[in-house]
Amino acid sequence: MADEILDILQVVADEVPPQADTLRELDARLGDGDLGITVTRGFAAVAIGFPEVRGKPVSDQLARSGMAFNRAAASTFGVLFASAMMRGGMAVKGRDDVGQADIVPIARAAFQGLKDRGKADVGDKTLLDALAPAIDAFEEAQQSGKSVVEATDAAVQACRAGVKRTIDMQSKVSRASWLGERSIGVQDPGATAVLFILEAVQSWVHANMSDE
Amino acid sequence: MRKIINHPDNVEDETIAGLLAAFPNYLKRIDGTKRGLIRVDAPIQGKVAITTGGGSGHLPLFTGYVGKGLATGVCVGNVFSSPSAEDMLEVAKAVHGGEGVLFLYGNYSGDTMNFDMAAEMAEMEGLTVKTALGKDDVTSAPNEEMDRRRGVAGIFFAFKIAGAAAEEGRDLGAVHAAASQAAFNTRSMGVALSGTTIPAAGEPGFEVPAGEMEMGMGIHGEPGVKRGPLLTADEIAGDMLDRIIPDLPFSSGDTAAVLVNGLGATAPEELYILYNKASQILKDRGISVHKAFIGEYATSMEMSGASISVCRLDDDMAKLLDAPAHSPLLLQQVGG
Repeated sequence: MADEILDILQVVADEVPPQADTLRELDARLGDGDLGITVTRGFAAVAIGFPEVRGKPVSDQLARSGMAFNRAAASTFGVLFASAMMRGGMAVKGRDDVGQADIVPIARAAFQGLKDRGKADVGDKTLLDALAPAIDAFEEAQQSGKSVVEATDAAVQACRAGVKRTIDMQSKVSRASWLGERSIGVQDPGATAVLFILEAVQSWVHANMSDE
Repeated sequence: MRKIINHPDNVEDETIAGLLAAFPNYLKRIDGTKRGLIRVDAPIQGKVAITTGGGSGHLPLFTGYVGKGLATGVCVGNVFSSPSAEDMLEVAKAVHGGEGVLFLYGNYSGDTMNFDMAAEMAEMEGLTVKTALGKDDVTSAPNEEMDRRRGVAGIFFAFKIAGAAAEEGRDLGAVHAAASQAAFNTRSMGVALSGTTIPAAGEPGFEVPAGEMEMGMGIHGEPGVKRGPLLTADEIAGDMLDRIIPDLPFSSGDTAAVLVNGLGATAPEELYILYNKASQILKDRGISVHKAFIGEYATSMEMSGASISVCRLDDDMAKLLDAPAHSPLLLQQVGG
């Protein structure tokens, strides 16, 4: 899987920033409106860093990409992204033989990294509400013998449903919690960013793994 | 947007360049960092170092709090955005004088998450780090949810008191205790009369209609508690202290320090008019004012408005508040 991670991140870096305006608008209603600038600057920096990590273990590629993002666009989302990538990478630290069986352990470790760094949990109206159902759906599909393509489709579908559920939630942590009940009715911007990222991963998976 | 700038993307770096050009005898940049600045005489061996940081757009906060008897180093973020954990780590390493590092900053999620990550990385490199947060804004969350409250201008007292404790040679535990106690004993409330524009965004993130004001609005435009017609200075001071005094609570017989802070576009005269009423109210409540600070201590670029902060003092805190301190950005005598 070595450099494939970089190919996947390249697609994320290509496909998420064009949707920055959607993120900026959602974040202006719940946060401080910088999430659009954050994904644009952050993913640009991730892509610029690829030559340095090509050929390195997946754990290094993930960790260094995460840190590059936060260095360019330090923010709540930036440091969460960095924490997820570092913790996800630690699940396969130093290994050169990372494969499909590692996807769920990496995702679970990244998820725990997000929880620890953000001191938040599922139901608080955060990006966790998009990621948790996606990981569960992927794992379930994989366990029932589905292909990576099918499992990825299931994950994105579950993620999309999770993002929609954040609309009716009240923000319980961070900046958006200062809005209290006024946060109800707005889709969570961080959760939306996670969906955009997974949709980009999905497009890479469809383009590269459909014949397996 | 009407600002004296060159390009919206260069606002932060050109501000830092200007500060370094103006005060080469006070501040220097750490090699290899984008926005890490430290006291020119740092690291100071044998003394606890204080690292702070936060978004740009609040001068004299945070860079102006670097100085003798104050903070030792700062990392500067983009306007209203956190600096990165990596810059924080570099500042912590650069200021460390062998006695540990206190992270002291305002309670915003981007900052806390980046500083927490920096603290973990610093500890992996063998540094001892403790953290104290400013969370003085009474309107940002109920009293029983203090940990969700925002930090605003009242963090001034934590910088001054913890900075003096570090300068005096107290150990990290004692400097952390001084900062935490000053932060805990401080309560603030603000009022905004206009919005402000992040240069890179180009248009106001929020606005207050002409003739109106928003009580409790945060320094980045966070929602307040009440929007309505502009009240008189005496009414505003009364409303603020009605929320501040019962929140700690401050009681008759207490000694306190008071800060009336301008948000960037409010005239000093208006701050003294506010303080005139505030001092009368405190006197009527039996709270004695040890010292008053009036001026710009934490701004929000061109936002118009003000905040009042009150910090309850014991004898040790009063002594630390009075100790000498110096930063070229804090124009009013802050100690001595």
